[in-house]
Amino acid sequence: MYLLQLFNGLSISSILLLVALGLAITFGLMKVINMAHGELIMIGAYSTYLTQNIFKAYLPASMFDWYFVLAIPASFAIAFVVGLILEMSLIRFLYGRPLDSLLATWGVGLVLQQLARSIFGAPNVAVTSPSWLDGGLMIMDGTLLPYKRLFIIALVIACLVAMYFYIYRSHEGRRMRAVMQNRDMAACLGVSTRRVDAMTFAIGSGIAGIAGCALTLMGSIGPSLGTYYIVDAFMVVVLGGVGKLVGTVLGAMGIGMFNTLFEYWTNASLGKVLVFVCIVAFLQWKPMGFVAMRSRSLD
Amino acid sequence: MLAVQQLEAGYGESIILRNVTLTVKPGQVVCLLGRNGVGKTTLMKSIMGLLKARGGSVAYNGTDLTKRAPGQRAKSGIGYVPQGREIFGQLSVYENLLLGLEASKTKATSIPEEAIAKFPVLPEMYTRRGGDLSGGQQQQLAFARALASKPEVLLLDEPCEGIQPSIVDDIRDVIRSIKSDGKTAVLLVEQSLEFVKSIGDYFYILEKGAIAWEGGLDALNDEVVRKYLTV
Repeated sequence: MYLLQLFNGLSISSILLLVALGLAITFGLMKVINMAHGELIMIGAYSTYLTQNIFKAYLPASMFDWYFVLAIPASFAIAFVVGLILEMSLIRFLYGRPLDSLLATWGVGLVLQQLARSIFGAPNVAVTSPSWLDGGLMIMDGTLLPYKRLFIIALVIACLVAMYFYIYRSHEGRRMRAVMQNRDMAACLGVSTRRVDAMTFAIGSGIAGIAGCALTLMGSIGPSLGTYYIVDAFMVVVLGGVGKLVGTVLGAMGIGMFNTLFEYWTNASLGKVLVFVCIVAFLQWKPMGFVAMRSRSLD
Repeated sequence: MLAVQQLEAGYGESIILRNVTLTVKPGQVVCLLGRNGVGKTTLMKSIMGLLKARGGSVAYNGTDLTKRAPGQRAKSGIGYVPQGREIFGQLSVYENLLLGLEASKTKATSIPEEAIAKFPVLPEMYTRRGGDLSGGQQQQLAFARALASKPEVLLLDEPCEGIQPSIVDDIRDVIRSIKSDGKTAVLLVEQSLEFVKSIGDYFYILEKGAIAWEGGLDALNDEVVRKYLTV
């Protein structure tokens, strides 16, 4: 029984992490309070819905199961482009102004929600999961691990690895870290800070899109999908410690695991309350979160 | 040739620099002197583009850079070692050096030999984080980082500030060797008169944000020093 709870905790953690990863970039690295993050998730989800409909309409039924493989890059790409447009038209005027960007991005979120309502209608739409994700892995009697949840865990790991290589091992990532640490000096060395800002924000948005794609596996989707996840996403990033990937992973694991355990020991609503109490208490003790950057360079 | 013409610059409402004109010819070591708060660092920042000019111009080899961003100035051949070194503390020493290549004209992917040859301690510390280095080591890193793009003009803002005497000597040797290579001109801000007299070709003295005196080594006599530099 505990094994199943452990798996549930891991599964919830993986969803939280996927939802928060994009925000770990836009909020964690760039310090933009992006309230439209949830709507970028929603855009990713609807991109998956669109991919599914295109497959249904134009391709033979035997191909249908493979739409999901295409849906992941498609949702990344569409959310990436929306993020890029958002950065170039709005966010870039708001760097260093947290309150203004909070209000402005919240407004953008409302606009995007309404846009989705106008295009796809207010009711939720269903995305049919591919049949190869039905069923589950039976590890012992009465303990079934659904393939969908396993798939999301694998997807999160893949996203993490890709992000790690992008941020810590590529040229672009090096420029990105340099700009986020010392914008003026990076500019003096010849790094195009405008380009880096736009790319960074767009990648954060694209990852939100992937999260949206994964969420279609968990149930039907609607225009307000993002609003359910935005608070959790911010909580994960803040709890983990702003600016470090490891922190975000720890934050998601912490919230996901405790949530599951508390709900198992008590009930759903009391469990949620206990998790919040723990987070508040923890942030009193360590206001910087799990992994705070500490170095001579910051003194 | 780096040419600054009648430059005016400042922070917010206040104007710091008024009517500053100076030139750095190829291969020359030009020193910028002056008491504290006369605008030496402000001038360096305006040349690099970190501060927007209110008036006047900054030109390099005939190209007007006044409206260009710092990155474009770096790519046109101006290297910068700022006051306080400004090392990327969370990045490794090697990554700091690689960032120095961003402005290089050739598509180099490895750090040029001559940039690090002068600082033999650096390769031993490639994997350490820049922020964990001592002040002197950071200064050497900042030098190597600026040299990595093979700049034609190097702006040095107080490179010896807060550094132990033996490394000050090293830095003097580095500036000398840059000078003897003849490929890179240097604009040097420095407080130590003894230091600048030992390497400078031409001198400017700033006072209240304007050039108060300029001349060669012979003209920089005790009277000038008493008038403009003695506190």
